[in-house]
Amino acid sequence: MTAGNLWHRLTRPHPSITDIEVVRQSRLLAGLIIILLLTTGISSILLIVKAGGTIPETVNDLFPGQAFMVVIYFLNRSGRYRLSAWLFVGTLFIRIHMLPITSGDITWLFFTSMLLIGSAILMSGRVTIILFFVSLIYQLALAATHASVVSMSNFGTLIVFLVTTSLLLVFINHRSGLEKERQQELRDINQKLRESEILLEKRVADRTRDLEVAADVSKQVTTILDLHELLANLVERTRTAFDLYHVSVFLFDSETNTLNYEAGTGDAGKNLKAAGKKFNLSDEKGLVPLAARGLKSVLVNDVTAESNHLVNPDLPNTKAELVLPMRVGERLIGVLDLQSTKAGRFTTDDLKVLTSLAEQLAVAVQNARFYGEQVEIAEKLRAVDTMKSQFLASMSHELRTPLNAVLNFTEFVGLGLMGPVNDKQKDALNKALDSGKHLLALINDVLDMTKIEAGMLKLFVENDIDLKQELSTAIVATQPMLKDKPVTFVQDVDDALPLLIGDRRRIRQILLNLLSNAAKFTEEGSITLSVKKRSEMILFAVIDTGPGIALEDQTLIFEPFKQTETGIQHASGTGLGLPISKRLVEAHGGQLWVESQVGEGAGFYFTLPIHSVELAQTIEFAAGGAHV
Amino acid sequence: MFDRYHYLYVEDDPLSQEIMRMIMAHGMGIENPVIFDSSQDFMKRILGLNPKPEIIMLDIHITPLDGFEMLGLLRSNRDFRSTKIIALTASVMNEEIEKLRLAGFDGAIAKPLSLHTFPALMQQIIAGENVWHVAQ
Repeated sequence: MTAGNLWHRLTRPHPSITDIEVVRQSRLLAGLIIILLLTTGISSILLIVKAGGTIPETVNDLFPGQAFMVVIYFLNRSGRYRLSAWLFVGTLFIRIHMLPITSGDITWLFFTSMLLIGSAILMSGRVTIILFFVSLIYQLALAATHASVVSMSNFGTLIVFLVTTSLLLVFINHRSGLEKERQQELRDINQKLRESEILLEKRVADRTRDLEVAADVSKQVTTILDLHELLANLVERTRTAFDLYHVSVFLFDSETNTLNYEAGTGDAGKNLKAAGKKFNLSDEKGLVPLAARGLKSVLVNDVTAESNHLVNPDLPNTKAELVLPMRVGERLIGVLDLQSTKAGRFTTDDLKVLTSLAEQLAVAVQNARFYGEQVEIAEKLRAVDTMKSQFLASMSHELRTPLNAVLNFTEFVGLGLMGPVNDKQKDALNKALDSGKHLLALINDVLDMTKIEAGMLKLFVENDIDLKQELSTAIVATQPMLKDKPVTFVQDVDDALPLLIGDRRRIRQILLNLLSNAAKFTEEGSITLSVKKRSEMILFAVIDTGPGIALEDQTLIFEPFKQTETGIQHASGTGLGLPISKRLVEAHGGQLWVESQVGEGAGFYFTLPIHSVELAQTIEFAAGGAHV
Repeated sequence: MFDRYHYLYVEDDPLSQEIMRMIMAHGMGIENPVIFDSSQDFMKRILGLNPKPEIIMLDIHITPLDGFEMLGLLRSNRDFRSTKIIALTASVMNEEIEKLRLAGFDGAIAKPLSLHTFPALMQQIIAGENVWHVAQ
């Protein structure tokens, strides 16, 4: 352990003392006591040695003082600094002032000045001043009562006081100076803090305002989509937010190469708009075409000194003007013109903010234009849609009417109603009839698919569909396709099936489609039709022992106008049967799917809900409409 | 059975008229049904018919009055309030079928007409059923 370390430990204040000033004072007091004890101790030992081992009277007199100092030391260490400082200073003060009387030597009083300095350090300036006056009064009293003691030299006493006083004043002055400096420093910091706080608040307010205007710009774009209204609102909003004289927007028309006054604030705005104020892009004078041509902002903080500035009779008070190009990339949309009645109104900060505002405005104008174009396109599309629907209706009428005649007359001739026909003729007529029927099926499929894709498919909903009847119709229609093939038709149909809600013709169409597909693709084996009631739905399955469908084709078969290799080989379908069936099942609120592996046949499954709320509502709507 | 009733068909397409004649002749045993080839003076002509038809078949797309307008005129006349009035249409649009039902037709039969299905449908209609035949 080093000496420094030991010293540090011996003078360490009580942990309860936290004030840095008091810690220092407490340390100092402890140090002073230690030094005092050491010096008196050493001198006592020297005196004892000198006296040949006996304790001289002077040393004896020191003991109580030393013991008292030890008490003060421990008081200080235990955290009672104030008390110990008072005791220390007080004891020494009294002792020093007693010495001239006991020893008859007035020079002891010289130590008063040191004690007063000590009290200023250990305690406060006020205590020092009190002690100073106590000492002064005491010395005056001493001079009056103990003339013999003081007689030595009045001069000496005076010097003691002068030195003491001046030292004290210097010290106190120094301390209060330090204090003042520190307070000033605190005040400065405080001031700076407040300034930056105000600055920050202002910046926040500015930024908020900019953001509000900017947010308004984007808000306007999504809400008010009419360009004129948008700009009229924006110029007013900008004028208010930036406290300006006049704000206007010119829009660039690339066809006429002109900048046309589009919107402006106040009466001047109305007048200029009504008068059709415009600039030609090539105009030499005028800040508006200047900014537009260069795609650069033009800032004139004193218009009287600017030759390019044109005085507008509607705006006589303009002193400063800022013209900003509204651009999207390199494309000129228009200009934003800002005018103020105060010369020097526009700062670089304003320029920054307003430039970005002009940019946003340009985007907003462009968006509004796009929106307008889109509304036009949407209207055109709607018209096309109506035309499409009308076309579909007339198609079905126009195509089917002549086909009606073809099919019927062919049949009438074939039946011999127009006179006798031989077998060869009959066969040819039947082929014509089959082709005609196929053509009719094609037309129907294409129309169905077109309607589905146009979202125009409507179900003709009835709530009393007897499945048994529809199943037998579908089975009867499929039988002829199987009559020359070794294929067994298996029926696995629940005995009690509830009446269904749905489109009778469409349900039959789905069944016919799946059954005829199975019949078409199955060369031998079996086709199983299974219909089962499953809680809230009916599950239909058509399972064949045909070639099966590869996994990669299993989504393809449900896409319109697409056929698999196997499908193409059969060439008798439109490729629309399955996509139509799937959409029809879905329109009923059911699902249609396939389970198959190549070489293991295919199973087509679909469900139809027994109680479809949506479909039931369709009926109620129709019934309600019928009473009107 | 079919010959107990009297039929009227309003149709402007000569081919459709002929098909109807053939189907009725060979499928229903009805020779020479009454056919109007336009809706001109419709009510005047129909009121001049004797006997009064019990079953009226109206083409929808016809001029000057369309099927709906003829239906309206018929239903506003007491004599035809309970007459079976059937729409014959080439449309496969369900919207139109729905419209026909809402307008107050007793049924609809989609073209093309067929020798195999038409007589059966007429039978159902005579039996008092409302037929909405929209099969392909």
